[in-house]
Amino acid sequence: MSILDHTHPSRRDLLRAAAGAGAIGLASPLAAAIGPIRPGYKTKHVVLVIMAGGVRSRETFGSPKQIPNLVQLADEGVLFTRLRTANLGHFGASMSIVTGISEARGIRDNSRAPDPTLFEYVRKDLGLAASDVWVTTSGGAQQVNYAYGLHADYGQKYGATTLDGDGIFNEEFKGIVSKLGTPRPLAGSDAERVAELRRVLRGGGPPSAAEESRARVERYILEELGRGVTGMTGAGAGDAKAIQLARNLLSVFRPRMIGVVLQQADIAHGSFNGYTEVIRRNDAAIGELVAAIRGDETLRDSTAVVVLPEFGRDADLNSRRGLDHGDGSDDLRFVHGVAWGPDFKRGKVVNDDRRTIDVMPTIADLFGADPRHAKGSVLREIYA
Amino acid sequence: MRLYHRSELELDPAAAIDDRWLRALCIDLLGRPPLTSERERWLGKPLGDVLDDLWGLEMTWAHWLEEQLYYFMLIDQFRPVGTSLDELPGRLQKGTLTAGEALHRIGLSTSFDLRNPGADTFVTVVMEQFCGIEVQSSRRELEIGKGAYDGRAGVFMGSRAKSQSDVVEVAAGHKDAARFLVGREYERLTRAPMAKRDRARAGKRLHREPRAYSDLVKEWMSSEAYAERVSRGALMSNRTWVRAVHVDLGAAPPSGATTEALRSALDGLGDPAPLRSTIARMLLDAEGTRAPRGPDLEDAGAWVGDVFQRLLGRAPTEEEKAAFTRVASGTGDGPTLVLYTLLSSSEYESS
Repeated sequence: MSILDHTHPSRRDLLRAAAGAGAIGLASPLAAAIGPIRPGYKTKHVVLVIMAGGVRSRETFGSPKQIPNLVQLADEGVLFTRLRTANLGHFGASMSIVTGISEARGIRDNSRAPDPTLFEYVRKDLGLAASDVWVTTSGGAQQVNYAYGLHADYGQKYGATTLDGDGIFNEEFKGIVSKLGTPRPLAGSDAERVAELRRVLRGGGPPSAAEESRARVERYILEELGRGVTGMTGAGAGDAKAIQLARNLLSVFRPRMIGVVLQQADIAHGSFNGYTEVIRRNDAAIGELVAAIRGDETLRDSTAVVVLPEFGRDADLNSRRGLDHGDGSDDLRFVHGVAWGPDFKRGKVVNDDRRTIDVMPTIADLFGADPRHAKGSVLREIYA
Repeated sequence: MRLYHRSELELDPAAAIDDRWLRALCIDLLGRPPLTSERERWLGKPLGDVLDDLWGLEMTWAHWLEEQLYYFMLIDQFRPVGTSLDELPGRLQKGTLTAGEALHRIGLSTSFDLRNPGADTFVTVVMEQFCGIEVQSSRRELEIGKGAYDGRAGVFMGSRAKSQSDVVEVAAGHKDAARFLVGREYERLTRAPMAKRDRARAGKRLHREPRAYSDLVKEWMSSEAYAERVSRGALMSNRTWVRAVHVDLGAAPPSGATTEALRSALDGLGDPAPLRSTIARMLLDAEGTRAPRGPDLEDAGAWVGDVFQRLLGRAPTEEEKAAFTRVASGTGDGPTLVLYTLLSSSEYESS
């Protein structure tokens, strides 16, 4: 029997599980009993945190007191001290990490990559539902492009379910929901009548899996609006929301894969102190995320966490006493990264040059997915 | 009367437009469907006349400006509010400013500077977004531009520059900027890439005649490419969807603040459909919408036909009409359920 036979439930399995899941709210139909991703491996879930916005090693592992939680992860996992970045625009560099290909993208380019992303490979190759692969972001409209690319063999139907923490869970939107009122749930005969009208409108046939998934995401958003994420404020609040959302999603959906793409360290252009504050806050939020994983019996020994910036920053301060990213220095082009999980070595330090685009094929390998278009290499040295 | 139809590609500027065409034109040029009064005014009128009318309106240019600000990602905390950019739609409508000059003004704004801090980011974005240059393969030009940004004189993109504002002026006035503008605007409106030769020709014309922008757009919107866009429908942006759902339910566009709050929330999802569905239900449940309740409907079949025309730009099929009329005339909130089903459909999202 192949790996996929273990992890790819039939439609009947999904529907049966979904019917049961209804009684406990939003829990994933796959959450109840999922096995390791690959035979002989312990990992069932992966959290990839792209600490984007431009973060130098000097302010992370060069200032260990500032990032006690990342240091602890490194002590218990694998630390890369020279990850070479793919390009030097935030959007393209972060996109490169999820596609495994150096992407020449404009800084304000608001479009999808031509190449498949990690999330598409994983969903397609493992037959995962949309609710099993998520991306949470903090950079607004542009960052939802990480969910999927434009490759004809992949694309939207294999994309990650993507939420921007600050975009949705903010006071302005919450105020509108309060003003208009939370919509009444459609139930009973109303739900049946809408289902029948939708069937007629699409020309007959059952609803697609995407429609079912959307209904569950709709319910999740409404529930999340009532939690504490919306109230987070201050420097780096958008990043903190993205990490908090990942934490909540792990406990609600128990997804196989969550990508977290941060952005607010870019405040460094004009404020060095603000930048270090964002790093400290993000380290603390990652610490809480890992603490939640450690405290959850089903996640504790089955979840891997990988953290890396998309690139660093200039070697010297600019005229505004901030840090730009364009001098081509090693401070800009090389970053530290951490891989922590049940299948990774403990306390290993890799001082040789590796690439940020190698991270994606490595995670894909952990999943047993084939990132056939990626240019990076699997970092096999991290396996225990 | 001869009408432009969804499947008709032989264009005649004198032929009259139907609901589908009118909805597409208004969505693309006003960022929302037609109001009731506009529908009464333009439905059945020749395409050329409607385009002339639309391009004479300040609100058409206000929507154009919003699209440009979004293109430059001057949204959320970077959105220019209460600045000199507010006067741009009025001046564009009066013809005292060209589209290219308006983009130049955007590049000089404080919002643009704050959005793109530092020499490297600023010059990179100017080169990429004004002229479509792939900066990674133009590093030398980037370094000259960064020098000019910092006050060092140099020849940047063929012209002398020695300041941050010079960098913007050189890029905004460059022939590549005209060619890039026509390419991206053509694609924005027709949802199809412009042929390289056409782009070069139109770009050359716009560079030579900066006031030709409106004429170029009218040509594109009378083309087969645009007829195909009308025929197949085009996914509404989140901002347009927010305005559309308000107009279709309440007969008036929402305030700017409401539009931006909802747009920002929708932009936060890779697939906005779940939140669009939630918002549609919130609006339908709220007071002030014009969804008639069951007892208010005198002729449910006629109402269903009208709703299909207004919201989808087409008549219902026989099966659709029977099913939707049955629900609309049934007990409870039948009409609300009909509206909710249509507003949350993928067809509505692709007007």
